[in-house]
Amino acid sequence: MKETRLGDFEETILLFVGILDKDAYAFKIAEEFKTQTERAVSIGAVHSTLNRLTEKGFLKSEMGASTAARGGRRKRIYTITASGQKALEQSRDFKISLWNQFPLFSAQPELCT
Amino acid sequence: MKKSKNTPPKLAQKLLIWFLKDELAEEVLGDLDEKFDLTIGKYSSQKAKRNYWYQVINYMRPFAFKFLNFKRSNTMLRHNVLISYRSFLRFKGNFFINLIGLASGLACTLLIFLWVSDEWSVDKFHEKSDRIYQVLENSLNNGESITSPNMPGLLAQSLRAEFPEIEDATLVIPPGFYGIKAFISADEQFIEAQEQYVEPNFLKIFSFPLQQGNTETALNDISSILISESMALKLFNTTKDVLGKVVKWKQKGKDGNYIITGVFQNLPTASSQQFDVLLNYELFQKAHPNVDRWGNGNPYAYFTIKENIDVAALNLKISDLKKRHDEHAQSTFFIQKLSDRYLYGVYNNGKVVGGRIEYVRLFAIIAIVILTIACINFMNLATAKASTRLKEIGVKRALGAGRKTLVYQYLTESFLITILGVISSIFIAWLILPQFNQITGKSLSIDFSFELILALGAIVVITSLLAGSYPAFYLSRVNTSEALKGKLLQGFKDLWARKGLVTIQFIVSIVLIFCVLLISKQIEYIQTSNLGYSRHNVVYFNNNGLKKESYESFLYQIKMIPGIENASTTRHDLTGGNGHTTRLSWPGQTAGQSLNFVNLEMGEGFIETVGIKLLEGRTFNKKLGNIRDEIIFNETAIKLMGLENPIGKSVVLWGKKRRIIGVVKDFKAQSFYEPMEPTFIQAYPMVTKTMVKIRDGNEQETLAQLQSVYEEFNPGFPFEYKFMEEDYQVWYQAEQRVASLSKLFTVVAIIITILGLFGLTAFTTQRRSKEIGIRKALGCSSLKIVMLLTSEYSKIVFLALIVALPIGYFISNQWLGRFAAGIELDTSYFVITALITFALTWLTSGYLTIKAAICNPVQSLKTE
Repeated sequence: MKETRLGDFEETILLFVGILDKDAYAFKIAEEFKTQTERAVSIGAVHSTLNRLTEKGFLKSEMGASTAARGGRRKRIYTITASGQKALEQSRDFKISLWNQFPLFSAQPELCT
Repeated sequence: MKKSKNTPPKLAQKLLIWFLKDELAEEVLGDLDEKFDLTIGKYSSQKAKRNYWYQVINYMRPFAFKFLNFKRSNTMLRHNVLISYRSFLRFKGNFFINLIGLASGLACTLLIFLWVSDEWSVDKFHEKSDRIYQVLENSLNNGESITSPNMPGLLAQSLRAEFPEIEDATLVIPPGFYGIKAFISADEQFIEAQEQYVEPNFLKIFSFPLQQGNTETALNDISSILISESMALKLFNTTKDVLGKVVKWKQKGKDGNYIITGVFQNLPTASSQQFDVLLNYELFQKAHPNVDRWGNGNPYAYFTIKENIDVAALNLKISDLKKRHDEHAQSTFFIQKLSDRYLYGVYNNGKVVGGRIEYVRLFAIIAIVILTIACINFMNLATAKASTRLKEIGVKRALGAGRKTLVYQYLTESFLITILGVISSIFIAWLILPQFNQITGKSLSIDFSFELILALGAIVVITSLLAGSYPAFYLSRVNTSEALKGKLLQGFKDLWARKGLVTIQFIVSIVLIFCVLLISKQIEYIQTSNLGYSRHNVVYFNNNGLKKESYESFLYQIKMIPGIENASTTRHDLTGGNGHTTRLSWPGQTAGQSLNFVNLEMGEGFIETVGIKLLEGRTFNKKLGNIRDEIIFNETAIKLMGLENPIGKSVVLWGKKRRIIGVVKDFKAQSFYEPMEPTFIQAYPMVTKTMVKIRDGNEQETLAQLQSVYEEFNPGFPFEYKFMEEDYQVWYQAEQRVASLSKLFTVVAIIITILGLFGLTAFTTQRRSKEIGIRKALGCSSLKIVMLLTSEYSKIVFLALIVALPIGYFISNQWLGRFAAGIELDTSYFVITALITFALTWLTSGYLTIKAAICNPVQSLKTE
């Protein structure tokens, strides 16, 4: 059976794909991850996760344009699929429901968008 | 700026392209380029390159690998592992036989690997080790070249001055030279030291790092002394601030106070030079001015060559160096790399003929042989049990499994069992390492160095391929429909192959049994054979603090002790290392005739003390004549000189006339490797050691009394004595080690072979149980059935004996040939070996065959 759960790192990467939109390829995602989380990650690790997410059906990809900095090589641009979108929403909803059950913070409405 | 500085490292890129899936190459290379550009914009190119490597290595993930179609093989792998596991459970006996066989075989291989790599590492730790050479001398004696490392003291300066190829040369006096022990003290108590007298450049040639002190200058002064860390601890209980301290030094002619100018790190065990004190060579030179003559040989000479030098040409150039300086010289020099000397240290007639390398090779071969027979076990049992797994194979094939799938399955199985075997072997090796160290006299340990892991990895791969290949390819060949019907491959070939493998195992084991039998007999012979004198209860010790004038009263006091039979002074301890001389002429000597005599310098009473048999004349006795004008020969010397009625005749030794007063029976004054040599004995009032014969019984008491006399005459020196018998053991240590190691490995080889035989017998008796049942039902006796079953193996053993015994004969004959005296190879060894082998075979297979033979036929016939 195919694994369809979303891991923590996977979720973050998936979100970055959404944020970067047309610019979502392995190197950019790794850089974005580094700037936003201040944690270094190797491109290989990101690529491996992207690959896994594609296998799970949360992402699809196609080869995009090339730039001079890449020695004329094309890059693989990832986009979120419908099931990827759904997995993200489910994950968010699940966390919010957890937050709502947490008495101290349940009164904070800005969490519920 | 060079262009290459701004491009990613080529090697990393190549590596990436090599392992990365082709379809990923474009995007990944592009990403990494961008990353590289970004990093180089912010940091140095060095950092960018390092980061590139880091990124490449981080791409080594299952998803990215070209060769690993992970997702698909994963399922198969899991399946194969599961099937292997079930088959292990189903054939437990088989599994354990395999595992024990492999594990013990691998443990032996592992231990041998540790030992061999330790032997290889000797003297290779010096930074310049591949450029350090030693000069050796070949001198012609009695038509045969004798090789010696002792050089004229003028050699080093001549090497430095006359050879542009040579970078630097140095002289070294090894510890205990001339048999004179050295003692060091920081206060009153003297302790023994292993000293080397070396030239100041010694530390520049050899890498013995200083913990304190300046390598450049530490040895420059004649009053300086360098000590090891452990010596510093012994003397001062600390290694701190010992520089500049003064120590007292006692060694004949070199006594005095010396200033510590350096502390060197304790020497690695891989160093062939072992010393704990270094002193200036000049000191030795002053005490022994004769070393600086071309005709004499004393210090060792080492040198370093410059880079890229033609060593053969240099060797040729050095060979007649001595003749150029000394017109009387007969000898030639040759050079050998220092790091080679440990393994290639035996010379015959001036040529390197081997040395420890023979043992290294021998044990490497034994390791391979043992591993092979362990693998053969695996192959045999796997193919044998194939018939019971035929249905499994048939079903698999019917479901469309290709040959490759089956091959993979069996290789997985052998791989798994090898891994288990390696793990258990490490455990076994770890358990027996202490004993192994004791036997080999080394301090080996299993530390998981890169090399060891590499070796283990290689062993796993090779063993699993070797052991798994035959069953894998054999079984995958089986025809589907026949496999489903349960028919095994027909034909002689497979039966032959299996029997052939068992025969090979037996051949190997028989050769080992035969050789071990001979080796232990020879060792026994050496230890019990008649030496021509008695080592029994003879102790000797150094005359450290004795004065010449008091020596006579010292000996007198010793002889007064009731438990002491006799005592004498002696320079040589009859365990080899004797001096030789050709400068002895005798009446009737023809021109050009020259003999190389062994020179033994002893005291009055020596011959009586060790019980050498006198044939003619008398022994030394001060009351009957001046002992300094007298000489005693052994039989061989008299025979070789051709003297008739030698008593009373005179010879000239070192230009002085000596009267022959006695002839003694031949006795062994050197190792059993060497033939009996012409020997003479001279007497001195006092030389370096004292030899004492103790009466049987009350040895402890006698030794205690001896000690008190010793301490009275040698104040400040510890009473350190040695039994000659113990010394003798040390002398043949190498042989004893080989003997005990070969015994150990032979036992392992036999165990593995027998396990294999046991497994195979178990299997055949099981397979033939129905046949046996029918035979019995038709009235065949149990005895007949036992004979039927055992005859098969007896034939194999017989064949193996025919092949193995000549091989064993050949090998052991060569080994025995190295001893001048030894046991004769006679038929009894062959018979004993054959008997042992047959006995082992019958015992192993006997239990199972008898069990099968006396089994009620109903049992086997009713099962279907």
